[in-house]
Amino acid sequence: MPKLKAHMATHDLWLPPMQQLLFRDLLHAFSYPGQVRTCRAAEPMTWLALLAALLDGEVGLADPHGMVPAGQWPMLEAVPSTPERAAFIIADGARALDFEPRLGSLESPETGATLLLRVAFLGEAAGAEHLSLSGPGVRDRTGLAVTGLHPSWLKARAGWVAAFPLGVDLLLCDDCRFAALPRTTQVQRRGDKWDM
Amino acid sequence: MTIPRRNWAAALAVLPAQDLVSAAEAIAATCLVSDLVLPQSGLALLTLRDGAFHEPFHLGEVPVARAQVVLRAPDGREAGGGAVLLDDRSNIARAVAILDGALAGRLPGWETAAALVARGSAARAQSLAEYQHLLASTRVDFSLLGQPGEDDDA
Amino acid sequence: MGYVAIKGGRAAIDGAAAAAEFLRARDESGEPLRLSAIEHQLRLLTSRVISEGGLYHPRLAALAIKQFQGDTLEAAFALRAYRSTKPRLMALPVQPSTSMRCIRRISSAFKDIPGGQMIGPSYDFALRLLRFDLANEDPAAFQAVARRFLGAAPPADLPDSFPKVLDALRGEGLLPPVAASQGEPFDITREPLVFPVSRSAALATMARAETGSLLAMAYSNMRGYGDVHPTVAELRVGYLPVLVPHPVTGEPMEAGEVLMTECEVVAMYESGNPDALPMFTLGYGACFGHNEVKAISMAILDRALQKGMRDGPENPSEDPEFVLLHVDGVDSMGFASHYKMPHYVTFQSDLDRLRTTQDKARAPRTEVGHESKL
Repeated sequence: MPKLKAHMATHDLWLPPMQQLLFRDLLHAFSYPGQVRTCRAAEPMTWLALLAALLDGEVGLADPHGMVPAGQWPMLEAVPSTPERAAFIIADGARALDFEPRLGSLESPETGATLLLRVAFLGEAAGAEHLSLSGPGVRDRTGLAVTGLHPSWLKARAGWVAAFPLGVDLLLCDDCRFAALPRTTQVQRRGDKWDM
Repeated sequence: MTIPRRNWAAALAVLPAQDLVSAAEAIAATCLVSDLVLPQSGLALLTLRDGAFHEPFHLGEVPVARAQVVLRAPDGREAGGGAVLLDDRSNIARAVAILDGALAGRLPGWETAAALVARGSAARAQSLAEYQHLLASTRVDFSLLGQPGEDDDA
Repeated sequence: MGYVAIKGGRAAIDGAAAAAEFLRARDESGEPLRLSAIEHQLRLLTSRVISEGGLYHPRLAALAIKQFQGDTLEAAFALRAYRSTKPRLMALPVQPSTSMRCIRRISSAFKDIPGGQMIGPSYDFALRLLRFDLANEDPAAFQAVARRFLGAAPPADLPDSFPKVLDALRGEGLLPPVAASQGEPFDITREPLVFPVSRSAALATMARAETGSLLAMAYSNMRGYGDVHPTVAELRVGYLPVLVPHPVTGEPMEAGEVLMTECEVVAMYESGNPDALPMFTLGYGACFGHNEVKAISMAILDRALQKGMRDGPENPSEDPEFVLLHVDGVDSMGFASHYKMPHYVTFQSDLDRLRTTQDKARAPRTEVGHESKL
């Protein structure tokens, strides 16, 4: 019905074609950790576009920093949850970490949380932190430059992913780009002697 | 509107889809319609308590469609509308939600919605009357047993 | 011997689909079946497919029956396949089954039940004589049937719903009271059965089980491979309103209604222990659609499985693993049908093994001290 489609165009982020494209992009991001992808949805909150593609009424979402606009919760359909119990967490990467996410279990490692972190910028910039990545999906080593990621996150991540297959998968998001750090990726900060 | 709001959706759902969609489109042409949730269809488990021990169990799945909207009339009045239907057509749920909101808030077009609800209610009443007739015409009158003069032939 | 290739046959497979369609369409009347005809004139067949598919969608059940030319197992399979493509949208509140808009309500255990007994649409008392007047049914006569039935309506001042017979007995103290348990029922669409299973898992499994399978198991219990001597406390068929909170007001609203069948059986049980009093035991069966044999069979099996789960099974119908793993029509039909798929490699290796074993048996014996090759 043409009327309905015209109306829904304002919500195109929520329509299947865009959601499928976003999902494909996420798949690519997780397959090639550290590769920065541009979010194709016209949504300034990149992480919201990714959550729109990922979530439904069967999963829990934690929003400890109050980032999700109130009107978007019904659209996301996810069950509001706490960071300790949620399958998905959205947090402000500039703030220090103050919770322990789900790491999964040996029988069900997939129940480890997926953590979306908002950062200021992904890519080369003055004052950016340079990460060196290796592991599955990375040929030899690759670099990822991030601005606005509090050091507590990567430090904690080292502990979370130390006992594979348990762990947490990260999605770093700025205003229009995102990159994935699955639990299998080894992250080194330039100048650090220790692997994360 | 003497029909309570909790019966509007079920009344509208028995009407032809095109009637609902046209009426909703007419209202949407005047009022601004915003979707609070994505109109969607899917499944839900139907859960009962068993008659023996009142323990809950899932009988099976039913199709459900759901929509929730906010209507804003040209004069600024707003009304919320919503619908959950045992149906797999999300566009019908959305149309019913629009009619529900317009009727509840007496927004422009509410008379059409009221007429549709009345028409649907009459159809539902007809169905319910048929169920009653199935019962009434087959009611067993045990008092007729054992009366004197009754045949003993089978 | 090399592996036998399992490629090829594409043309034959396409041809098979066309051949089946040809038989479906080879009706001299030239009129395709209308779904409404299946839904209404074959309503009991449609009911069966709805409950065995596990999805209350009469129109799609009719479509599946049409598509698979009346094969109920395939039609239920198609309905299950359809439901697997739909998301779980929401959770509904527990529905009170006492609000059923009955079209049939009987008890064979109790004559006077609150609200009375109403036979409803039933063939229970019909003679099983073929009605040849149905062979060439006149459309005008067909259309007059409904008009005539409704035209002869006696004034109906019946209540909208009827209390459950067992609840009335409980109210009189003839049955022990039940606590409304709050546990989360088992979802068989999400979790596999891992034994021992809860009663809610057993009820859900049987609710979408294949009718004949349930009937055979229940019949075995009735005939003596079991101790359930049941009487039907209540059998009801009707439309259950489904209530959900209105998205705006939060008040209960009706989302629609679902045709279902429900049965409670009551059986006397004597444990054989002279000190223990005999008591009533209860069984419950329910399913989508109008299917009385299934509901009664399920109630008997519910009672049998309760005993089996508590005291250990003495008969197959009391064994939860035996019953629950073998009554699902899609599972059982699927496994039986898979035998028709090419097993050439499997069978080839069976043949090889057979020949080797036979050769060994016929070969002269080796001398003592030689290693024998395996």
